[in-house]
Amino acid sequence: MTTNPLTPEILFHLGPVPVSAAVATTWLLMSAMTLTAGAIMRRPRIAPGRAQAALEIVVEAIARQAEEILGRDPWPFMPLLGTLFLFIASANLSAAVPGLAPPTGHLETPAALALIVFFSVHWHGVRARGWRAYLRRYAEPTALMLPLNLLGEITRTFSLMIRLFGNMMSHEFVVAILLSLAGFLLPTPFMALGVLIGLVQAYIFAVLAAVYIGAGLGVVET
Amino acid sequence: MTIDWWTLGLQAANFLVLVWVLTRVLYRPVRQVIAERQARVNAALDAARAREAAAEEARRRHERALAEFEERKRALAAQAEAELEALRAQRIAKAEAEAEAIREAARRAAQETRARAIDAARADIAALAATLAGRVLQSFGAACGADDAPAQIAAFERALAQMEPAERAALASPGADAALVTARALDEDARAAWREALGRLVGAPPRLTFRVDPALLGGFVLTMGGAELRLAWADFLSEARARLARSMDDAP
Repeated sequence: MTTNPLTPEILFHLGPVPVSAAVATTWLLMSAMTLTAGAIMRRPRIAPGRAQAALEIVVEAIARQAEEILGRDPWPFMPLLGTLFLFIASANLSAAVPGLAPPTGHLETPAALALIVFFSVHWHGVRARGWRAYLRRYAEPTALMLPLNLLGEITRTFSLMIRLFGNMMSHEFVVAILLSLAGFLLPTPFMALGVLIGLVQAYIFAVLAAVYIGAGLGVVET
Repeated sequence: MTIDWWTLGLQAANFLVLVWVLTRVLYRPVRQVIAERQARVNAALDAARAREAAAEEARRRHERALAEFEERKRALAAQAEAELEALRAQRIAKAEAEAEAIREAARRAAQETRARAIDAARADIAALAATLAGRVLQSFGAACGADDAPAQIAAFERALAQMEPAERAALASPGADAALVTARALDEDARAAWREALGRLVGAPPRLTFRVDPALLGGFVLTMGGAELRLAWADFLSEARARLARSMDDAP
């Protein structure tokens, strides 16, 4: 009997709640990220060490990118945008660790992230512009555009999810097929390529989220 | 393809938890340390700007002090120059006054000296004139002023008595011609008296000629035997003039 590789692999149950491998890997990544950031930034110094400097460079790079897209102070949006990039990047890169499958290679994780981005866009948009002004933008330039705009909201969230899921899932399949056909060493270049793909996909997901939020704020045209 | 909604929900919850956790352990500390570093940089920049402003202010103060010093120096130099000029003018005026006083004193002294010299010369002249008058009177006697023959003959005889023998012998050579020059013409009695007097001198009356020379003023000039006896007033007056000139030259 063959199993559907896209079906979540349930590791155990917490009461009625099934815990899949993606969730377990996510907990592992969350723990690693929390412990690493907490250890490095527990006593931040004005003259930073190498680890603190590296972490500051990463965070500042994300903030600078977000500021260029949003055109305003990026720090209110950094928890969402920064965590999107760091989590997706670490989840994608976890594919390089033997025994781990990237959570983004299963549909539920990109869907969860896309839904969070979807609601965050509206939350930031309503906070910045108010209900009326925010909703009025769906009827612009004419009321005839309302269905198309609503459809666009759904499809762009769907594309956000599918893009990440498709890239990571296909990469997983390619590596698995090569591994089964050609042995142990041949997939190595593809796994290195997977590192690049994982970082690029994290960057694309975070940048598109920033663009969508910017559109909700009225500072970016989509 | 199916979706495990439990997994979807758990992943959404996981992500939100991660957002909350990273906000506290990563973004907030990073932002704080960046802000603190930026504040320190700004403080250092502000301090540097303040020091620069203080340095600029100090430089401006220094330049102002330098300018004031230069101005004061110029004022003092001008004041010293003016005082020096006044002092010089004062000293020149004083020196000129002193020189004028010295010149005035010298002029006064010279005038007094000249006056004294003139007085002394006048006194000498008066004395000399008195002496000459005395000698003229002594030579020609009290009657010499009348210029008559007896007085002239008496003067001739006194002169002979005072002559050296050799001179008298040269004058009294026998047979010699004689010439008598007088200031006025002699009458016949006077001429006879002269012939008689000369005859007594040489033993026989000589051949005597008479001439008149008003320039003699008085007295006579007797030429005889190659000798000449001059007892003319003009000669005495010439001698008096010479003495007077010598006394004037000797006067201070």
